[in-house]
Amino acid sequence: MGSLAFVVGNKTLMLTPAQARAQNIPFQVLSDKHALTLHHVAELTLPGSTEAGVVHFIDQQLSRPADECLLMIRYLGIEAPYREFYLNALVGFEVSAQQMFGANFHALERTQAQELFNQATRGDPSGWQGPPAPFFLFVLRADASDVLYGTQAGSEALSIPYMAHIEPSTNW
Amino acid sequence: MQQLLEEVDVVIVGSGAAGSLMAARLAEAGQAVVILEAGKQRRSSDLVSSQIWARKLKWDGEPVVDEGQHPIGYHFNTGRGTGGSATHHYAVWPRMHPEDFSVASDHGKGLDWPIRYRDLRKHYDLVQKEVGVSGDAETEHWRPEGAAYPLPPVPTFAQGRIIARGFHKLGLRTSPVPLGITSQPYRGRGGCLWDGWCDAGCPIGALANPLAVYLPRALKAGAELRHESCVTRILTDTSGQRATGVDYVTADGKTRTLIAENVILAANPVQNPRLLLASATKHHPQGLANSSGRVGDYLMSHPSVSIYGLFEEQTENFLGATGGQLLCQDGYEKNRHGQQAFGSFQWLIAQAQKPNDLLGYANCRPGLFGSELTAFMQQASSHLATMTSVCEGLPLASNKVRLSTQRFDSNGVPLAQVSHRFADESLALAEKSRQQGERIFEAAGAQEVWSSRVNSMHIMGGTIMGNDSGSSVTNSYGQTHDLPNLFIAGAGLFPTSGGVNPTFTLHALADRAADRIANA
Ligand SMILES: Cc1cc2nc3c(=O)[nH]c(=O)nc-3n(C[C@H](O)[C@H](O)[C@H](O)COP(=O)(O)OP(=O)(O)OC[C@H]3O[C@@H](n4cnc5c(N)ncnc54)[C@H](O)[C@@H]3O)c2cc1C
Ligand code: SF4
Repeated sequence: MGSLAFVVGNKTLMLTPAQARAQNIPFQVLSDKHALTLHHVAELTLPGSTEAGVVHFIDQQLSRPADECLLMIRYLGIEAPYREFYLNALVGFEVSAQQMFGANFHALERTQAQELFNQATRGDPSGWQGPPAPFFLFVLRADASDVLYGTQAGSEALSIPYMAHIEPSTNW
Repeated sequence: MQQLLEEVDVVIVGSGAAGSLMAARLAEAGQAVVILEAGKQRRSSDLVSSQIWARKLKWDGEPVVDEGQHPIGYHFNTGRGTGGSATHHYAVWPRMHPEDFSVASDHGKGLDWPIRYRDLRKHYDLVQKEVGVSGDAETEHWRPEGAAYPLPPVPTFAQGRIIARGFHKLGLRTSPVPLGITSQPYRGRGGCLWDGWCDAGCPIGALANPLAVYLPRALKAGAELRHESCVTRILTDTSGQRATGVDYVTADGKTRTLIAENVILAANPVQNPRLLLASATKHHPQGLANSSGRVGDYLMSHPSVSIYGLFEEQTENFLGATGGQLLCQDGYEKNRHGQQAFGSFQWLIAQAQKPNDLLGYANCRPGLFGSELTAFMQQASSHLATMTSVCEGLPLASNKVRLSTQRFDSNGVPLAQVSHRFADESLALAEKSRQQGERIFEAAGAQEVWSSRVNSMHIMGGTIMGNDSGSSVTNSYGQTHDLPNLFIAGAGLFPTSGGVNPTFTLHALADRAADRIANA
């Protein structure tokens, strides 16, 4: 798995997402609770995307000025800043989890989380607040595909040649 | 102390496809040319092979309020920085057909162009020789008259061969798609490696983007390109009869003025009308060059549908150029599609695929999640094939670029507010293409076939050309009817869209206009 650049204080560290988690590298935009919810929703969206670093990817991109943000949302007709879009949707999952099952999203049974998630793919689950849930999942699915498949490692996992003219110095 | 104003022969707003050709021609004709580019500098060495990094090439300027029933997808369909959108365009370069220029006279639909195909032919021929278009004029049955392609065609890989099977079974014809890409080394540029990274920009110069062809020529001939120089206003003299130059804001936030004999707007079909409207004066209270009231009107896009299929064979869809391998224009006859539909369409067949991003195959099945998505990705990477229709979008006066009354950019210029919907006949045409496309994939033996919704591809119109100064913004040279030294370049001039990609045609138009300006 490729390393990512994490800015801690005034230092830039090159770490894998797993190392970043082990070292408790702080998130810059997401609260720990948001990050936990995002972790669980992303893993239901595309298994393996959390190990590939989707939570840190989103957090890093949201912390950049809008014109440097590389999330696909930038050309989906949503205006910057994008953090509200993500944070409001994560709150939506929390509120719906409480309303439907009386628990935090990350603490739901697998079948409960899957049920809420499935509802969110089709429309807003009960109690939902935030941007339209299916649209949020479309965006998150693109982010998850970026980190899992949009890299040299991702190409190898799909058994296709990457054939870079200029290799990216970091995954993003 | 009074600041001395800088003066040049020509100021060009925007370093994209149209601006860079204009700059090359006029600088080579000995004129003092400055190109003002709002975005950042991009060099070929910045064109990193990654669909994530590729987003740096997209529009990153002031937002456009993109509204209407079928938004034009401004933030996907444009780019900013050296070379503009053209730096990451896919270089599918078919010519428009003679019948595209006279749809109103022939069919009572849309608008006529003030010129005919024969007026553009020599410009197509010259440009294709300079940029190195690859194609096969003999098998391209529908191709209008013109010089043979200077380069042999794109090879057909497995994906192309598999889909072509379906076309041929239904009695439809295919030919190699004409690409502004060098199929072999050409005039000091390398030949294409068919690795499908065109969307991230081609750093080896095989694809005819401005960085590879016209900007180097312009700079060599003495043109100056200034980055992070966003034009905020077109200036006019006290009589309101002539443009005198532009105001622009640089990275340090300072406003500067450049005086010019001729002003050429080559920003894009949304930003050009925005600048005209935002430059209103007491002589031009509706905005510059807008005595017709048509600045911003007739904004167009091509309705487009993608067809997808999973095949038993390996499709090797990672090979080729992003624009595709094959072309079919058997659907070009405009009134052959039934009562409801009107216009021309073409198929771009067997685009090289990447897994991620908006056009990546992860997105072609938006309803799949979890383990189903994982399984699909494995299958698609080896067995997916795709093609895309490009359908004529009829011009509607109600499709407009206007200035927002509520919102302004950091320089105080009102944001562009765009409203767009496809004409019913254009939507019906896109649906016809969908039905035909699905039949083709079934005939080709796909195990599963599906298609996308109708998407907006390319942006055209908004500052249309015409003979009548009461109903159009410019003449056929892009010279505004109201101010003889203010020109517009780019697909914004198109009065109707035809059913082909616009960039070859806008090069031909710019070449014709540059001749006129240089010899005036
Ligand atoms: C992903 C993609 C694929 C495409 N593929 C194809 C294809 O295969 N075939 C085809 O024919 N077409 C294709 N196109 C369309 C093609 O890119 C455009 O038709 C072409 O680039 C338009 O040229 P232009 O010079 O008018 O505008 P652009 O190339 O967009 O250049 C305009 C420039 O003006 C600058 N600018 C804007 N406002 C200002 C201002 N106020 N001050 C200074 N500068 C300003 C912008 O930053 C930009 O650099 C594609 C487009 C995209 C996005
Ligand atoms: S496919 Fe050809 S034109 Fe496209 S990026 Fe690769 S080498 Fe360049």
